[in-house]
Amino acid sequence: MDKMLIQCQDVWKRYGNKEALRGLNLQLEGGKIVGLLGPNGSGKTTLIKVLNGLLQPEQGLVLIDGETPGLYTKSLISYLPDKPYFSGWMKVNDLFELFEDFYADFDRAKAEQMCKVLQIDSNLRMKTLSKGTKEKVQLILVMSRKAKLYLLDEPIAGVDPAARDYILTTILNNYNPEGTVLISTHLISDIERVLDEVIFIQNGQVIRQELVDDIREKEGKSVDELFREVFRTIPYGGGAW
Amino acid sequence: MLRKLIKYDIKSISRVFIPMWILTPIVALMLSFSIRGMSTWTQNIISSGFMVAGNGILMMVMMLLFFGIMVGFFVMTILFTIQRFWNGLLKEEGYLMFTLPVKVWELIVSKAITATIVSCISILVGIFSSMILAVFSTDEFITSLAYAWKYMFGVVWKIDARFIVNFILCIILFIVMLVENVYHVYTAMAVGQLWQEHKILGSCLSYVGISMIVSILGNVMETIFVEISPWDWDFYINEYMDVIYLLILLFISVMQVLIYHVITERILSTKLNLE
Repeated sequence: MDKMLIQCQDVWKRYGNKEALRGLNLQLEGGKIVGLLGPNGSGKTTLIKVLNGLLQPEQGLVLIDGETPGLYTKSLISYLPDKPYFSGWMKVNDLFELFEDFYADFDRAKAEQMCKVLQIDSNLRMKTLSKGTKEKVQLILVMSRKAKLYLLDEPIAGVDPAARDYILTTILNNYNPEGTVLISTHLISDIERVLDEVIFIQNGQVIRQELVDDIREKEGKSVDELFREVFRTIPYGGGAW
Repeated sequence: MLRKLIKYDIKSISRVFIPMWILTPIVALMLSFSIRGMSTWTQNIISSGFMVAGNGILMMVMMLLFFGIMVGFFVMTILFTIQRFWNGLLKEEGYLMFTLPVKVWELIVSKAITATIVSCISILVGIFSSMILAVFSTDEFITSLAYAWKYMFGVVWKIDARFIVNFILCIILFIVMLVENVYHVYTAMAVGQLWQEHKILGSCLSYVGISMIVSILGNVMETIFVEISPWDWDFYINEYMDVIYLLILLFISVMQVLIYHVITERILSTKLNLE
């Protein structure tokens, strides 16, 4: 138990009458790249928000590195939300300064180097950047931290396949190897090659947690195939692909 | 960490307010010279009733223009205070701010301190600009001001220890009441963000609701402490009326700030509802 980086016990979170997490249980060790996989509305984003302290569960226990979400856990977590969180007036340099001020593990030289490689002028204001460039800056900020836990919420949703490759390569090349990367997505085939372990989530509950190698060995299937099997729904009018 | 947060909040507002703080006195100065110029011009022309009336209308237009600028200036200060809290904490930027390793109370206090500083400077700039307009547009103003000053301090007030205490209390009270108003808006927004939809409407209704609650509580407290209390207030009121009155107002305002802060902090800590 002590080695666990993430522990969730009977976690419940409701939005009004809707139950987003329904007694979720999860234990995750450190030092892995883990896919948090589930269809839309399964509770992935809510779980990530609970882990990083943005949401408080109504019930249950959440521990990150043995502590409930708070100042300590926030200093361990590098979080990539599913939308840009910048203030338009800020320059890229201002954001670097902000991260340097608040996160001891932020490597500014690395961030500046990544900007240089991508030919992003760090003196530009965020509001002048394109959507894709903003996403890249956000990824640079998140991956320039030597964090113990990276929570990446849908990092490849809504981008073209070339950008997906860039994002995944950036994650793989830059994450802290001693840390854990938790990537939520429903685009399994793109992400499968980088994952050590997968967590399947449905209706606010973890329904399966397994090493990717075990899935391939035991089931003789790729994660993508297993995902389609587990989350298959019968289309209106019957039939399936 | 609070210092760092304030640094970023100040940075975020300075790009809008510093130009405004510089421009407003300059506009006042330009207006005052225009008024003086027109005044001299009309005096040099044959003094017909028509021209005098025209001059009066132009003066009035200029004053209205300045009044409009000042109103716009203060409305902008209020709107920007609201916008920095709403956008900075309760919209997308909240994803960044609430995942920083800082306490929620630090986020709120940082915004409140920045808003108070901005409001105080804006008020001072407003007063300064009005003085510029008055001093440079007519010669009579300085004479009148000197006379009023002499009268107030020579006849109405005596500058002694008690006056200084009252003066300092008034300034403290003014700043605390400013903070209280800022917090009133923050609490309304914190309650409003709990709504799943129409959060701005929720915030407006919360603002009105909180005002009503404060008003009712004020009346209840007044009834309890003044009308049915056994204490002999008359003695104190007669002897130390001004100081006691100011201290009571200060105490009430400080308590309101504390209550608003606790409510806002608890809501944003436990019921944050980012879009």
